[in-house]
Amino acid sequence: MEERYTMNSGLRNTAMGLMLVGVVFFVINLVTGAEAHRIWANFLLNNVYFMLISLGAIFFMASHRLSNAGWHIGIHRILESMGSIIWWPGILLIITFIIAREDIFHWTDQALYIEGTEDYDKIIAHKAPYLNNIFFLMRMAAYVLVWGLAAYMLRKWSLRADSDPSIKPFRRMNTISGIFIVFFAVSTSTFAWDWIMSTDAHWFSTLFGWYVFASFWVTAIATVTLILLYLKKLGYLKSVNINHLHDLGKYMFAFTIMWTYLWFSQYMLIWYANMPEETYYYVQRIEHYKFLFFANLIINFCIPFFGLMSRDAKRNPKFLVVIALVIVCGHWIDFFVMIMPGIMGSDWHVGLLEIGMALTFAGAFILIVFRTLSKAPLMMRNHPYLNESMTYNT
Amino acid sequence: MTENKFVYGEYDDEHILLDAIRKIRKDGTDISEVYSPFAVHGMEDALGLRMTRIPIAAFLLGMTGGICMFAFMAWIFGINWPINIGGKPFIPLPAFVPPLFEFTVLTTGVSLFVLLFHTCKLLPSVDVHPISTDLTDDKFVIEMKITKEMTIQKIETILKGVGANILKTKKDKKTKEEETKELEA
Repeated sequence: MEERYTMNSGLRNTAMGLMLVGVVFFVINLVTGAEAHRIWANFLLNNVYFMLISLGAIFFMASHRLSNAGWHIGIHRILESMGSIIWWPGILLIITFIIAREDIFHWTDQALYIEGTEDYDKIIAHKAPYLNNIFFLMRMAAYVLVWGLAAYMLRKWSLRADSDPSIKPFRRMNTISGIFIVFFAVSTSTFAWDWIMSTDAHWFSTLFGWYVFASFWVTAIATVTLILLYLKKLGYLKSVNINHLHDLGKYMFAFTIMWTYLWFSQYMLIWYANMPEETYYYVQRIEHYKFLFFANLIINFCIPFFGLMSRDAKRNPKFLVVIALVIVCGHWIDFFVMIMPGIMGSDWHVGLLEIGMALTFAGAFILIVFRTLSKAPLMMRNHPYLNESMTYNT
Repeated sequence: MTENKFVYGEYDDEHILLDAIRKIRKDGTDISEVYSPFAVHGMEDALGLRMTRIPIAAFLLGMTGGICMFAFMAWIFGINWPINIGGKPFIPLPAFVPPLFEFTVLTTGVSLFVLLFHTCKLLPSVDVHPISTDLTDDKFVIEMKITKEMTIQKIETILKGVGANILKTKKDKKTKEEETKELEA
């Protein structure tokens, strides 16, 4: 009955290999002389990307718990493992900010705030009550703490439920999810403003937080699907069947549309209003990032939308792997196009450094998630909705 | 309605119903229809239903709505009454997307609704003969067609074999009508 995952050496070696290749690429770049802000920008990009995937997994658990959903119980342990990595990128981001804030964030330059000087920037100075180092770090500490604690507590009570058949763990998970969701509602937006929108401190968009949410949420669902399909290929999680995969497919399809909806809402309002302080965001991207900018839309909308439209496509595991991989890579490009123009301007590259850094992070992600996964049984026990999940049928 | 063309087997529980359907179909017997007060999960697999043509209908209806709306807007803003709004082109495609989207969804939704009513003969003024009024409440019914090979007796033995309660429609209807009449009186 008790099903445990043990990490095989093949996966460990692959993950290690990815990290090694990444480090080699990084060293090559260091020797050939990459600019500091390019390295830090990539470091920021990948930390934010993987942190948000992990956050998406926590949100998955919390929202499904609060809506009394039962079907996802079979993949709950995968979600827990993904959620529990959130400390790592969180702490790395805080360190990045402390060491290299002036390489990444233009607004941390203190000269901008001194009135009367040549560098004085009225718009940024006006934002000082929100965008200042201390408040920024306090906010970030709060995100990491609350998100990390939510992930930790959800896992703790989920594991406790394995040996405690009472309703108490379930109730506790309910409370934790409730508190997390309220905080999450505000903090995703502010996190997106802090770490992504503020790379371009003059520009603002009210729905940017939502846009980022849609992006990482669909990525998190695609990542869960990939991990689940990998585990199923190895013969684990037999009770998670095609019906559950169908639901994950529906999610990918639906949130692809939601992402496009928000992408378009942001674009159309700015295009229609045609105000210079807003349009330069798109002008910059279409002039200097033309290929990635449009590739982003095609990869993240057209492929999953037309690919996942039919019922058979959503029930075909091989097809789901392809689409999930497209989404995971596509949204990395999405984050690239969000972050890079603010830091690198027109002088951007996708070279060994970018690919290497992403590979290192992916390797580390795989290593940590699967190691956490191997520490506990793959299936929850005693959960009130366990039976509902096992007999689930779409 | 002088002659019964169908035999109806009634059930109280959807799980027993599903098992019964599987058993009947296993022997190669055809079931012409199953009625249920709510969607029963796994029913389409048990009945071996093929995909419906609803997606195709939805696609065609949606396309019709979308194209009509686009033509309408292009005619208004491009031909009939061109207005310069903030220097935008007379047919601004991005600005057309929200109404196009909304109208496509609206056409699809409303026309599928009408289509469904038409297909299920639920339009107002259509005379409906319910098999049993309990069907909208808590009973499930298997409907099997009477043919030369499948006589009433044969079907009834099959249905009884899988635990169904044979519905005598005409009689039932009469008693129901009588009951309502009594209540009204």
